[in-house]
Amino acid sequence: MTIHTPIPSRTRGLPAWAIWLTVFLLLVGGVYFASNLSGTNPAVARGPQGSAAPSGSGAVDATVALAIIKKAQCQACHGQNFEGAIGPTLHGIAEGPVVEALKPVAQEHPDNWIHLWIAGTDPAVADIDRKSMPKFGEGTLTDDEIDTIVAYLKTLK
Amino acid sequence: MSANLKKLRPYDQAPRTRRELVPNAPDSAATLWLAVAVVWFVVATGLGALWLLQEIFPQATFTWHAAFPFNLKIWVVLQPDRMLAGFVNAVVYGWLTNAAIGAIWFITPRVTGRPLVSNLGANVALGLWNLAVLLGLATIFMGILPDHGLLSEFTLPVDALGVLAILMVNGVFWGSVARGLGPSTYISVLYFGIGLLAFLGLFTLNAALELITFADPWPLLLNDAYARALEAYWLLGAAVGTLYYVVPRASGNPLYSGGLALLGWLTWLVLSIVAALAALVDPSVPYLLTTLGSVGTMLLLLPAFLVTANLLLTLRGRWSLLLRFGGLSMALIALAFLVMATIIQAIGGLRSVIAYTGATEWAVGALVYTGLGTYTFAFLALGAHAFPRLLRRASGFGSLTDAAQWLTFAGVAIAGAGLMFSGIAHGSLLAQAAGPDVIASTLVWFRLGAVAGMGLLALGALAFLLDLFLMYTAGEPAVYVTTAPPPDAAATPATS
Repeated sequence: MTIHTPIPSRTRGLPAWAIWLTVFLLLVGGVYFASNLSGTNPAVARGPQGSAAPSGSGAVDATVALAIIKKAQCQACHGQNFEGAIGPTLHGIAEGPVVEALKPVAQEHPDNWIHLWIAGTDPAVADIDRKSMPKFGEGTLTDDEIDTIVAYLKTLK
Repeated sequence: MSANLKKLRPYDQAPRTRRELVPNAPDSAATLWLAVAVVWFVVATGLGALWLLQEIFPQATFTWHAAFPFNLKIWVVLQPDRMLAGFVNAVVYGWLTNAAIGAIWFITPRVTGRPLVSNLGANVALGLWNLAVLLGLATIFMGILPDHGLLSEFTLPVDALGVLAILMVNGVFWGSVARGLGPSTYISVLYFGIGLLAFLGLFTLNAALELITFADPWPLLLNDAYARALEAYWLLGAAVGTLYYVVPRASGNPLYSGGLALLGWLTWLVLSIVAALAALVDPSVPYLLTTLGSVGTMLLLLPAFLVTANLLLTLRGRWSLLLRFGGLSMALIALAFLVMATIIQAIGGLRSVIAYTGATEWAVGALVYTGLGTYTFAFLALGAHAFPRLLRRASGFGSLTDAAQWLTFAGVAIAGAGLMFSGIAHGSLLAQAAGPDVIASTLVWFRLGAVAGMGLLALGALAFLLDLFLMYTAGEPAVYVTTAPPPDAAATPATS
């Protein structure tokens, strides 16, 4: 059996202060609205966690690169800050490869060895053991996306 | 006639009763939903603490993969962004949603005088909903979901399961109250009704939008707007409806003003949908629309003030009850967080603030104050009132209950502050184009504070779960006699 325990109220009426408070706040809101009728919303780039990043902050390129890196799941093997985990660290690769096996490729292709390694489709890297690193050039990432990642990784010291 | 000796029982032992697979007893739905909610509270706060630890120690990434027949591979990576998504989804869909629905099942029959039309249906919905949430979290940790904001869009099958569960919950609720709706309907039922309908509509719409491909950044914009609308309509509505029950019932006083309650409800109803527009910050969105959203977010202060004033005035003459730990003191904490969190969200709804703090943990700090502050304490207040009555035990377990309350309060305050200050510092560093190393080294102290807070919160959640377990297994049996509030000369009889 359900026990009915109604909750009465002292009064059904509305206190005067509540009406004045409502009117006052609506007026304040109206004034704010009226003073912000025209303009353009800022261009907000969305970062890796799906939230906005400020535009013109210098972080836009990094944000786009990090979004692509997130899509490729690089951090799963190279660490959240690319400090290395299952895969090697990516800090300092602007100076050259941190892995011995990639040094011959870097000597032969000094300007784009990182791109070639990430894509994995060029004969120059065909014989090097990738140790479970996917070949992102086989449909996962476009050339532009790989270039964006390379540009970002080169900023890591 | 020969007797089967195995079936004979001593005369002083009661015959065995067959247990139902799905409970259908009165109040079984309220008990189960609330109990499951407390478990999710522990899980969610644990995920939050682990996420923050990973932000400080990025090497602490856990990876697990397995291969199965038919080329099926599962790859689970517990990295910070997935832990964050897991934390937020566990808080909203796990802890708060289960607690809100449990509160609805407890309160609705008592204020309407009508039993739930089906405890069985409500309990089946419990299983479906929690299965959907578990599967959703699994897809987050497996990296299957696209990155569309803090509150995830699950895969279609999981969404379908969730929609079915919410539909069943709505069916049981409306089947129970529809015939009794009228001018005397108590304010809590109005909040619950709108909240449940909004939950069904928004969740279904969010799932349906997966079928349409939007150009960037619209998936993120729509997800943000969905999260804001869900929080304003469903979580806030359920929490306020709960407080409107707990405060008068626990104090023994009648509600101060039915008219004030109705005004707060009406303003909440209108402003919540407008407030969701504040998330649509993009050049392609008309400026007027986002301005309207900012105004709506700021004006949500109005229903927050009205609710707080109404409930504080209800406590007139019973202030001494607040000196003791229990439902009323937790309700007061919830009201304090309500006002503070609404002010924070009003500031956070401004375009300039979104642009400054959007890529930072500021939004998570705001979520901690609203979700783990306001709504959590509202539902914990109900738990303190409801569990002893549902389990027929004496309330609380001495110092364990007090410790749980203090730990939770301190944890929320410290974690929320740590995350918000970290977000402000993070936004400042991003504006200066600082590199990841500089950002990490600057924010580590704020994050350490947030970790400490989240750790306290997780301990508090564990203490609540332990308290509930001890109350059930070792608590002193008690019978609660329901009495009407003391007669008051100014009280109007049998109204909302």
